[in-house]
Amino acid sequence: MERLPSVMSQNRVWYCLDCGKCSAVCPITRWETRQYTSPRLLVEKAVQGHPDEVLDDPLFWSCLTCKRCSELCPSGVYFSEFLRDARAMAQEKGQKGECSHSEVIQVWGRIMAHANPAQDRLGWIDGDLRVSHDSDVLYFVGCLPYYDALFKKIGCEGIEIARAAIRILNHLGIEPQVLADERCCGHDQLWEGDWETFQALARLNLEQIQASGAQQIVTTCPECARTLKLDYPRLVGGHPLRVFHLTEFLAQPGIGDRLNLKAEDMSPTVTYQDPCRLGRHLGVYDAPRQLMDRLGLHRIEMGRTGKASLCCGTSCWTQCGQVSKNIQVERLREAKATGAECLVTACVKCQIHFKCAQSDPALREELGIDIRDLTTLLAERLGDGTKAEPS
Amino acid sequence: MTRGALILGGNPAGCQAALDLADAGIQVHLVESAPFLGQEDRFTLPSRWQHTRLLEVCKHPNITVWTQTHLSRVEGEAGRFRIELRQHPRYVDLSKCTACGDCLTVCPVTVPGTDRKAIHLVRDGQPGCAAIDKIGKAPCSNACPGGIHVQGYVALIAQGRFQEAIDLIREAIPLPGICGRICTHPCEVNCRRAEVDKAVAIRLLKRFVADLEPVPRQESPLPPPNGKRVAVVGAGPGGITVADRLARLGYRVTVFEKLPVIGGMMAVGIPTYRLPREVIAREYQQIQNRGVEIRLNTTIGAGGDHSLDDLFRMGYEAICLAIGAHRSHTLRIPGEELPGVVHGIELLKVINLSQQLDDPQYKATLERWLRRGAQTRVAVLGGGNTAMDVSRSLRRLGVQEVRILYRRTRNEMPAIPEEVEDAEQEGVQIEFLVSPVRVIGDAENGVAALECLRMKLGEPDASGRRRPVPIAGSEFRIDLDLVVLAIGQAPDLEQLGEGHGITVTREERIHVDGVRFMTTRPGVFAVGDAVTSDKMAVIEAIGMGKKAAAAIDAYLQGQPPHEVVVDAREVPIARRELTEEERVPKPRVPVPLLPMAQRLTSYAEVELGYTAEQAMAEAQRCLVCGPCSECLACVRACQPGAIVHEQPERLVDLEIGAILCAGDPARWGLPLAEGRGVYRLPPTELTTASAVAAQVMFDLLTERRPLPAPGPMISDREAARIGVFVCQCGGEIAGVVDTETVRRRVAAWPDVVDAQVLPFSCSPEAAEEIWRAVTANRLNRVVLAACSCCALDQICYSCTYQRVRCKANLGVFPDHPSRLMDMMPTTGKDRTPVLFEFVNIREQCAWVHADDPPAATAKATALLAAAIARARAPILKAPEKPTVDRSALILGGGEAALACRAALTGEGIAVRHLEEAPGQVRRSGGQYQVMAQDRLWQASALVLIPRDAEEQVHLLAAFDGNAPRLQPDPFGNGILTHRPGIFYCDPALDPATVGAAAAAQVAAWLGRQEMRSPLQTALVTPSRCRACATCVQVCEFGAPQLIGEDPHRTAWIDPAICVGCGTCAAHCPSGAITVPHMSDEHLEVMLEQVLGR
Repeated sequence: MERLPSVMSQNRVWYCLDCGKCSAVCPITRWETRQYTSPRLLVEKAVQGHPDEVLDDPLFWSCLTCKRCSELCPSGVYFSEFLRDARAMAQEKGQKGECSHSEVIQVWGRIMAHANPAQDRLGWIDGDLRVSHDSDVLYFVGCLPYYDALFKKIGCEGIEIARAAIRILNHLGIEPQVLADERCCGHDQLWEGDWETFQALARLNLEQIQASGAQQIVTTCPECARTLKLDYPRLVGGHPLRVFHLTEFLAQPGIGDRLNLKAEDMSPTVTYQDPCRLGRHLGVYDAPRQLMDRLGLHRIEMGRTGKASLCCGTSCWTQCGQVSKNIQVERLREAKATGAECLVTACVKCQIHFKCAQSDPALREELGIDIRDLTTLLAERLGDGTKAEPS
Repeated sequence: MTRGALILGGNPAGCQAALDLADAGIQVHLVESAPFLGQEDRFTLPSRWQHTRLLEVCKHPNITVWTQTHLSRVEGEAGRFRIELRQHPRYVDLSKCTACGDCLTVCPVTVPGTDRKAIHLVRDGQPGCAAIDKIGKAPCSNACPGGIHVQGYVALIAQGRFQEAIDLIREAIPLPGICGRICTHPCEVNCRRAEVDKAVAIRLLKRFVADLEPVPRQESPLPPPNGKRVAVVGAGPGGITVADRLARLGYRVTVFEKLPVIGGMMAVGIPTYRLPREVIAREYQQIQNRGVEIRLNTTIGAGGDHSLDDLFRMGYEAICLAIGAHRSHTLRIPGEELPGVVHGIELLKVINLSQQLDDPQYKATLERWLRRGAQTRVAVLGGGNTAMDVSRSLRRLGVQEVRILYRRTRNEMPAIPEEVEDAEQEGVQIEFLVSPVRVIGDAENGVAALECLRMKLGEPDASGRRRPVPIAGSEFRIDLDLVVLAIGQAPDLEQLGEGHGITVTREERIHVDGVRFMTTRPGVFAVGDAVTSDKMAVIEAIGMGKKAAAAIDAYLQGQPPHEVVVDAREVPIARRELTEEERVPKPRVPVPLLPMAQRLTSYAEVELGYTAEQAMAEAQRCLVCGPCSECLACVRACQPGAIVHEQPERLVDLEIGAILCAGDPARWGLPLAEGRGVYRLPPTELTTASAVAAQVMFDLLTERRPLPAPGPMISDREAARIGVFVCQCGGEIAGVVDTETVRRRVAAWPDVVDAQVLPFSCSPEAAEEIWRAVTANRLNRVVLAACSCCALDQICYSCTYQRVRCKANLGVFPDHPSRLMDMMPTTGKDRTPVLFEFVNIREQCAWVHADDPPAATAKATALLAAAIARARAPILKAPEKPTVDRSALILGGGEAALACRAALTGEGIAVRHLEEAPGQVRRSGGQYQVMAQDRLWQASALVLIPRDAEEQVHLLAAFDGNAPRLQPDPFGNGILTHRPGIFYCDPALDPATVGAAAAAQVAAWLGRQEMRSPLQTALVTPSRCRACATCVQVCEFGAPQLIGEDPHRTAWIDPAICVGCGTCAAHCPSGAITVPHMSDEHLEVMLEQVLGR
C-alpha cells in the first residue's frame, strides 16, 4: 500500500473537509451494524496514514461505488474511484472481498480472459431476430447469457433483455452486429481491483470491436456502457466508436421517435430505479424517463430519485449479505410506497438484486412488486412497421 | 437381562414399530421369514426413503434383525415371554459380503419359476448382502456315499462348464472315470426326475467329464510332507482312497497289493467291457503322482511278505487294512466240491487276468473249466452283478449256453437293472424262482447236471425281500458242464495269520470302532468290504475311505476321535413341490451303445458315452432340487470369502416383554392370540404401527435404555497424526486402481504416519486392523479410501449396507460403538478421539475410469491427497449441543389429544397441554417456545392436534414466521410435519390411534436427539445472510429456519436437526453458511492439493 498516497492524490482525497455529508447518505453507513463505518472515516484513516486500517475497514470492500457521496461532496473527492484504485493495490497483496455465488462469476471473468474460452455466445439469437456482419451498429450483449444460469430461478429476465434489444433495433431497420466471441466488459474486475483480468478482457474486446468496422456501440447494461465509453480509452486503448446505452441511443432525434408503439388500454403505474452507472456515472437520467413516457406509462417517482437515488445494494458480486439485503429492502419499500405496480430499471443487476431480496418469505408479501427491465417492456409494445420520418 | 420387544414381520409396519421403539430406547428383535426385509408388503414410500429406512433398521444399535427366521416356541406371559427362534442359514456371512455380484454371474442354477439365481441379491431389500436359496441337500447329493456335490456338477455340465464339473468331482473322489462307469449310482436312485419320467443319467454325465479331461490340467499343490508314514493293505477303491486322502494331507503312503495288478476287485472282478483297464490305470497314475507308492504282488500277513508287526517296525505309524472280500460264499449243497463247480469271482479273476497278464496259467485254467469250449453248458447261480458279469463275460468267450438261475424274481435281483437287461440282450437266459438242490457228477468227469427245485415267494425276510419257499415235488434236472457260484463273498482273513491282535466278528468281518475305523489293535485301521457285511459298491468304499483317512489323520495328529467330524451336520433333504412345468416329461438322452454284433466278439466297452451336446441336454433335465446345487462356484468367485455353505441353522432363546405381530399371524405357525403383551398390526399401516409402539413403550417403560451420547470431539490443538487406508474391494477397486502405488505415494506425505492397503475395508478384520494401527501409531486422523462418501452420522439414499457396516465397524456412528463386533469405540475414557475422512474411490475412480486405469490411479491419489489435506486443516469450532429434555407440548384438543397425552405420560415424557390457540411459535436452544396465557410455554417437541380442518389451518398459521410454511408431510402417515420435532394428528384419522402414534414418534425423536453430535452442524454467519430462504428450500431435513425480525433477519440452522451434509452451504448464494468439517478453507486446501499447487 506504499502507493496509497499517490492514489489519494489522483482522486482528490486530500481535499476532504471532514464535513460528513457523505456519511449522511452512504447506504452502507446506514446498515452496517457490526461496526461504524463511513466514507469520511475511511478517508480519515487514509489521510492519517494508516493504510492497514483502511484495508480493514468494512467499507473498503463493501462500498458500492454508487457515487452517491460524490454528488454531495463539496470538495469533489472521488471516493468511489479512490477505493477502486486502492482495491487494485489490495488485490496485488492477495486480498479480496467476500465473493457471492462461490466466486463463480469472477471465475467466469477469468475464464473469458483466456484467448479461447470456448463459449457459445450467439446461441440465443433465434427465431425472427436479425443480426448482420456489416452493420454500423454493434450490440454489446454483456453477461446476460451467463446470468441466465444463475438467476433464471429467481425470475431474472436475463437473455430476454438482449432479445428485446435486437427486436427493437430490428424494428428500426437496424440489423446490428453481435460479436461472436464477446468477453465480459471487465467492469466488475476493474471496480474490485483485479486489473490484470480487466485489461486482458478489454484488449480481447477491443480487438473484435475494432475489427468489426462498426461506428456505434449499443448496450443494455449501464456497466458495459460506462466501461466501454470511459474506462477502455482511459486505461487500455482508445477506439473511434460512440457508445450508447440503448435508452440513450433511442433518445437521439430521428431514431427513438420512429418507434411505432402500440397503445395499451391498461398501462401499469411504474416507478423508476436509476442505475448508478447510468445515472451518476454517465449522467443519463432523462432518456429512460422519456421512453417510459412514450410508452404511456404512468410514472411516480420515488422520494430519492435521479442523482439522489438509492443504489440497488450490491456491486461486483462481493460483500452481499445482510447489509445489502437491508438496502434492497429499504429501496423496495420506497418503491412500494409510491403505489406503483411495477419497478422499472435499466440494469439487469438492479433487477437481480431486488428480486433476490424479495425471496425472503417473511417479506414476500410486503415487498411484492413487479420488477422489469425497460428494454423488455418496450419490446412488448412494438407495433408493425416504423412510423414515418417526422416531417 | 433386558426384555425387549419381538416384532414379527419385516414389512413396513414392522419396521416402523421397530424404529419407533428402538429410537425410544427399547431393545427390538425384528424377525422376518424371508432373507430380505421389505420384500413382501411393499412400502408406499418413495424408494429412496424405503432404502434409508431399511438401512436404519439394519444399523440401529437397538434393533437385532433376524432374517429367514421362524418362531419355534412361545411360552410365558406378557412381560416375560420365553421365545425360541429358529434361523435358517443364509449361507453368506453378513459381515463380509460386499454385494459385488460376482457370485451371481457364476451361479449355474436359476431357481425354477423365477428368473433369479440360487444365490441372489435384491433391489431395495436389506440386508444388502447375497443370500443362497438352499432348502437343503439335493436328494442326489445326499445319497452319494462319496460326498460328491452331485447336483453341483450336473448344474455345471448343463451350462457346458465341464472343467469346473470335473474339478468339483475330483475334489470329492479320486476315481471319477471308474465311478462314471460302474457306480451303482444311488444319486440316480434318489433322483426326483424319476417321479416324472426317468432319473437324470448322472453316472454317464460324470463319465463324460472324466473322459473329457482324463488327466487334470492343474493339480492343487500338496502340502509339505509331514514326515509320517502310513501303510495301506489293498489297492482297491477303499484302500486307494485312504492313500490318496492321506497323501493330500502330507503323509507318505505305501499301498501293498497281493494281486499282480492294481485296482483290487475292480481289476479282477469287473469285466473290461464295463471298465476298460486304461481308465483304472490313468486314475491310479494320478494318485501315484501325488506320491503314493503301490507295491504289487506283496502279501501282508504272518505267512506273507510282511507281517503287521513288520510294517510297524518298518516305520509305518498306522496301517489300514483294505483287503476287500475275495473269498466266495459256498452253497452248502451236495456235489459242490466237484470239479466244474467254480466261484464266480475266481472265474472273473481268471478271465480278467488272462487278458491283462501274459501268463499261460490263466488261459490253461480257463480251458480246463470250459472243457467243451463254446459248447460248454454253464449255469450261473445268483442274481447280483457278479452273476451278470460272469454270464456276459462267458458269452464273450463264445459260450453258447449261459443261464442264470435265481431263486427269487426279477424284482428282487440285486444286480443293476441295466446290467440284467444287457445280459438278456446278449443272449443270457435267466430263470427265476429256481433253487439248486445238488450237483450231479463225479470227480473224474466233473459236473453232469444240476438238480433244482422250483420256488414261490412267501413272507418277506430280514432283508425286506420276499423269502423264496420251495414248491414240494417240483424237482427237475438241468444237464450242465460248469456251475458258477456267484452268491457273495467274504474277506480272506486267513492271510493275516496268527497273532495279529485283531478281533473278527461273527459275520467274518474285521471289527472296527464305528467312529475311528480302528480295529482292536491300536494303529491298525480297516475299511471296505473287509469290515462291512454288505457287499460294498465302489462309491461306498470311497466314501468309507475318506472317513477312515480323516480318522487316521486325527489319530496320528493326536486329536480325540470325537472331533473327527467329517460331515455331521444334520442337513434337511430338499424336497419341494414340483411345478406344473417341471412335471412335463422330458425323456432321458439315450447313450450310444456298441452294436450287438461287435459286443460278443470283443471285450470293447459297451457304453460309448455322451457327446458334449448330449451331456448338456441330459444335465438340463435336472430339476434343481436344492435349488442351490452346492457346485461351490460362488465360493471360488467370492473374493472376500463370504460364502459359508456349511453354515448351521441357529436356535436362539430370548426373553421378551411384548410381541408385535405385523401381518398375518398364521405365517408364524404358532397360536398368537391377541391379548396382554401380544399385539397385531396390519402390515402396511404405519400409523397403527406407531400407535401400537406407543402402547409397547408404556408396557416396557422400565426396559428403556437411552441411546449412548456421543463421545468427546477431536481437538485441533493436537498435531495431526494421519493413518491412510486404501481399500481394494477385491477387484472392484484394485482391478482398476493401482492401490499399492496410491499407498506408496500418500505414505510419503506430511503427517501421514501409517499407510496401508486393505483387501476389504468393510470387513471386521479391516476395522480391527485400523484400530490396531490407531493404537500402535497414536493416530488421531484416519483417511479411508473405499466406497463410503462421507464420515457423517447419516444415512442417505446412496448409502449401502456395506458402507453402513464399514462405518459401524469403525465406530463412526456415535450411537454405534460395537454393533457388529466387540471393538473399541471411536472415543473412550483413555482413548484419543479420531477424526475420520472417507473418500469414495470405487465409484469416483474405479468405476468411472474403468477403461483408463492410470487415470483412475491418478485421480484416486489426488482425491486422497485432498482428503489428507482436509484432515490436516484445523477444525472449526462446533456449536454448543442444544439442550433437549424429555418434554412435549400438545397444542389443540379433542379425543386424539387425550390419547396422545396419556401415551406420552406412559412413555415417561413430561407433557403440557395448551388448548387455546397459540401465538407465534419460536425455537431456541433445542426448545420450542409458545407464548400463551401471558407466559412462555416450552418443550423439546410439539404435537399439534387440530379437531378439524379449520383448526388445522389456524394452528399451522402460528408457524408462519418460519419459512417455509409448516405443512403435514405427505408421506408422514398423518403424524409427521416437514419440521422435525413438530408432530401433528390428522383430524381425518381415528383419534385414539393417531394420538398414540404421534406420542410414539415424539418418544422416538427425543431418543434420537440424545445421541446427536454437534460437530456436524452447519453454521450461519448472520452478516453474510440475506435470508433468501435458499437453505430452507434445499435442506432435506428441515434444519434451517429464518429467524429474527427485519432488519436482522437471518437463517439459523437447528443443531438438533442438522446432519452436516453441507447442501445448504453449497447452495447459499452469499456464502453465509459454513460446515465445520467442510468449510471453504477445507475446500481450498483440497483443491490446492488436487491441482498440485
